[in-house]
Amino acid sequence: MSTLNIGGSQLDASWFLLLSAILFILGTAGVLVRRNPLVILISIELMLNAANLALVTFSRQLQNMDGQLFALMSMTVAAAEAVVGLAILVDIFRTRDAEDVDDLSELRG
Amino acid sequence: MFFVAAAMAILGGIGVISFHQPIRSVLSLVVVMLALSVEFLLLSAQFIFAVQIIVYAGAVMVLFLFVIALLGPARELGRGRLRFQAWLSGLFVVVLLGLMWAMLQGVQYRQPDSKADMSVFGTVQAIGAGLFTTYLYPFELTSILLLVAAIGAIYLSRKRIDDL
Amino acid sequence: MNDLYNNAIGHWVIVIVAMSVLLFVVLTATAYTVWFERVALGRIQRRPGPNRVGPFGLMQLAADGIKLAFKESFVPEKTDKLLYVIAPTIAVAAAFMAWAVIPIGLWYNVQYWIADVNVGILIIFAVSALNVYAIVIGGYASNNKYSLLGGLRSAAQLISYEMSLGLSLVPTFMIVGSLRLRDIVEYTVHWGPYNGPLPLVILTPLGFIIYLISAVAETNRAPFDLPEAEQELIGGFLTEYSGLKFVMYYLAEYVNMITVSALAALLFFGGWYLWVVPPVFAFLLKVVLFLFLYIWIRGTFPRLRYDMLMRLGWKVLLPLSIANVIVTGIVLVAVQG
Repeated sequence: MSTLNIGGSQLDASWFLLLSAILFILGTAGVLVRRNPLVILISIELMLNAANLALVTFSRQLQNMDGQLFALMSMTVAAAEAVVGLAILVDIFRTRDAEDVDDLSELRG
Repeated sequence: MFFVAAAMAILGGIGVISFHQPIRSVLSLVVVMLALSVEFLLLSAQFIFAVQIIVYAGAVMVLFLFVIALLGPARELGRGRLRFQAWLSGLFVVVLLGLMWAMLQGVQYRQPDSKADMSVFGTVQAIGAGLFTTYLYPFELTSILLLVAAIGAIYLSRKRIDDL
Repeated sequence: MNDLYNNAIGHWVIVIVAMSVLLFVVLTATAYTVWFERVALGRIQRRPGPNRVGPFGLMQLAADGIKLAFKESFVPEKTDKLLYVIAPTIAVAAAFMAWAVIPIGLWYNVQYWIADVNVGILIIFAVSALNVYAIVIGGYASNNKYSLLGGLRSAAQLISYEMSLGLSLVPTFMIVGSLRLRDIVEYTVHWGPYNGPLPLVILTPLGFIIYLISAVAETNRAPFDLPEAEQELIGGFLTEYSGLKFVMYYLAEYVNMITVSALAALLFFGGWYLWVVPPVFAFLLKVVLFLFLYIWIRGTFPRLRYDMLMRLGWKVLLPLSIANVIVTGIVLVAVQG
């Protein structure tokens, strides 16, 4: 167990990891249960955020900046992913009303 | 402070997956992001805190909002083709939860190799020094990634000839 | 004072008092900014402006406020009521949150601030980024084509100009070497016989011009007030808002205006340093001058067309500000070695 000095009070690093795990699982549940492609993308963003929290937590615990730099990289990747994902969605919505990912199983336009 | 933000984050996360209108899901995710930015501040990652709000909440989520506003309020239908999907995913989530819990129990914390100077930890200067020395190569790669993503997005959303 | 500040309860008492004072001052300043704008616009358009309520029309705003507060608060049908109410709240919250990190010089060695953080200016950007939500959600929740169009236009406009706004300030940070607003204000140079504070506008004039233009766009003021654009969009995202919710948007707009003026004074004109003028008056004078500049711009420039706005943002301001950053970097390396 490792306690971190946070804002004058002692707090265990496990709490941050636990929060990160819960958020990640919520994101996973969103991807699995929801059918709207937009909401699935949003849930993926939630998972990426949870991963960032874990990265920053370990960075603080090891007192090593690398974790924060990786969190920055993953934010960049998340931004790129969101842009491309949304562009694809807009393109799909143009030709059909896709409120369910299962409607998008055909590879034809 | 941690627990208030954590509760907000978890409530927001539940909101993301349970609201029926996508716009509310997006706003819940914004709440999660703001709560997480507070956690980053607690972990003395000030720059990440600012970037989290500016880039994530300020740009990426606005993009989502933009698309939702453009496409109009799409309501999700309750029908499912895979009948057991909800059950299966529930099972999966429970298993994942157990796995994560087991992993958290087994986390062995290593003591920091060298005591970093906490007065500059997480500041813009420290991040900049890291990005432009040790991690210059990955940093340049992300710039290419962003360029590719931008070009891809423009290509995908171009006006088709048969649309005209 | 120091003992009191280090005490946990004393700390909170001081912070809360400081916040209340700030809230009061900013609200009052907003009220008189509105009066100032109406009078100044009136003079520019060769009409008297408000002059009935109170001496010189000074109480006009109180009258307007009472009128708006007692107006029926109208909520359009078939909308997301929650979002409709949240949107103006976000606008006001975001507008006031920026003031948490803005320092104000009161006297020669006395400064006033709520939080003196070393990412100060980034927090202001972060908070102003939240402004987009207020407008987009307001437009979306109004369930009105004009509102939606106004909201979408505004989202695109704010995101486009946020980048040139941010990049226009980067040379300032490079010169000072800090993001802390107080460090930027207290930037001093040692040039031969001269030894003292220097307004940074001398070192980054281009950055200042880009900042000025982008800030007008960021606050949705004329000539960049396309989100509202009365003639073409009725009132943009504001169309369906009335009563107190309208007041909240209106308030947020003027608070933002004061914020960007104060930032311009702090970042480019040496904040509270002005020859022998006492700091607080120097600061106020600079802020009022910038406010007047905004009003002057509103009174004299026609509104840009939407494609012109985007062209200006992406093809002129953004490349210019990137070039400014690069040139400043080269010069800094050449000078400092």
